[in-house]
Amino acid sequence: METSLRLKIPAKGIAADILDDEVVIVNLTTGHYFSTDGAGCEVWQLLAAGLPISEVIEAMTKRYGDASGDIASYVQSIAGTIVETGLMIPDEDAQDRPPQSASEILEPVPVDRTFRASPFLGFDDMESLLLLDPVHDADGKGWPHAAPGI
Amino acid sequence: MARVGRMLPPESEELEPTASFDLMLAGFERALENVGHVVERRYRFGDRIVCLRFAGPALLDVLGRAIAHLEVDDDHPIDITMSVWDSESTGASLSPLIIFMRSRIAYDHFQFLSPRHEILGVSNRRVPATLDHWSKAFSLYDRERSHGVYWVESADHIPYFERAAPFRTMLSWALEDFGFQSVHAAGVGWPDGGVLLAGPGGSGKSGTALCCLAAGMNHLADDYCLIGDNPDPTAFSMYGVAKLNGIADLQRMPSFLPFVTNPDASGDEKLVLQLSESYASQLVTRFPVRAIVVPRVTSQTATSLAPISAASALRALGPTTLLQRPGAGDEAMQAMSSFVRGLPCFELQLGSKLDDVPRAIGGLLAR
Repeated sequence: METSLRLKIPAKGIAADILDDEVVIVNLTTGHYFSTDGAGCEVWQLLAAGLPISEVIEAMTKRYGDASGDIASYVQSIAGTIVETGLMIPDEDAQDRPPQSASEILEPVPVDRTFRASPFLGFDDMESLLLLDPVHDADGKGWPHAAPGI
Repeated sequence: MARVGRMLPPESEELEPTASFDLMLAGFERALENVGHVVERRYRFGDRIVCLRFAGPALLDVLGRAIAHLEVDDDHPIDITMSVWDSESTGASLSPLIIFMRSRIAYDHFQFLSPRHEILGVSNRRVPATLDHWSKAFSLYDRERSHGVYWVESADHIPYFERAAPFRTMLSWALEDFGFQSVHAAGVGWPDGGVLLAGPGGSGKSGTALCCLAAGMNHLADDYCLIGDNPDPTAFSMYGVAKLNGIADLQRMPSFLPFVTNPDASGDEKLVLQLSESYASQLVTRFPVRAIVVPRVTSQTATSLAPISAASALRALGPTTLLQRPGAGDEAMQAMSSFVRGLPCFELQLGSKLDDVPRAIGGLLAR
């Protein structure tokens, strides 16, 4: 993914919040939901704030002192997943907004914390809540019959 | 300005955001003229009074039963009004424009309904609107007037689970404006404190609630309830029902058999207990929330509790709630997050020994 790319959460269809150091995200269109903690949550916050991917990599590297490139591939991987799953989209108007720095967005890193590539977990066990057909899955009396395969 | 455009013939003018609502309300007035009288009932949801105005008794009989425990006298000032009608019993049909919209939805619902069944081009910030999944009922709510309209073709079209949780979508819209969130959670405990049982369908919420009911604990909800945190985390009843998963639950808990209201249930229909009629003394309308509990069925014999993070509890509560609440988004997520943040959270590892379940929750509440 192009490292100059900036992302944003779409205006509709995504709900997210951070509890402690874990973010929970729901895609209200697909019914999938996601979670990541630690470094993953920090990457989410930086990307959601509109920092270019290159600056996210730089900020996370500075934060954890990584020189091996693990952080760069980790950030790229998370950004790719976030875009693929529709949780963020490219921000075409990013240039019009004042830049933020990572230190304004993240709490200071605890002194004893080292970098750990927290997985970006996805769950699809609730998508069937959205997939039923409201018209054709009911008979003439409106009685429920789930569509085949759901 | 909102546009009904995709629903309307090309020559139509742009309509006000309330246009569809006004048409549905006019239909209610026609239904009232036909039946000659309105049937009014007032209910307390959270700390708000909701007045349901029925065009005749047909829908009250079907939809009023599950909320009977919340009914209050008619001298309570009204915060929210809902006008409720059906075409079959009143002889009043929908307006031609709404019939046209309905036919378009039937033709291609993926084009005209969002995944959560908001009616695209009609639903807007002021007037959210849905076509119900099973009953094909319309629900529209005007936030500025605090007034909703519910229409269904016939009472016979309303499935058992909607009878057990009537007006859920419209109540969610209305009550969030007053600081209450409807959540997909059960609630059990005591009048001075209880737990919210969070998790998707099949996670063990209803079964846990039934075990606690059988053991004499108080029951607030088996599937949906309201939460509010002003000033302290509190849960409020929405529906006075409990549901059993057919014969399997009855075999495990046979004491409920005399109280099942739909013993002739067929297929995958659940068995329903109307608690205001059979367990009135155990039904509570509110309690302070002491903990969030996330049930998980295990292969163990004993039931145990293990602490989990608040984020894990939010994962169990947030997605399943939001995906069943048309129009809900970030604000509802943040409200749930705020609610969960201040509470201890546990996983309830459900074993096969049923007596253990209320004992574990009772023990938690006694701490």
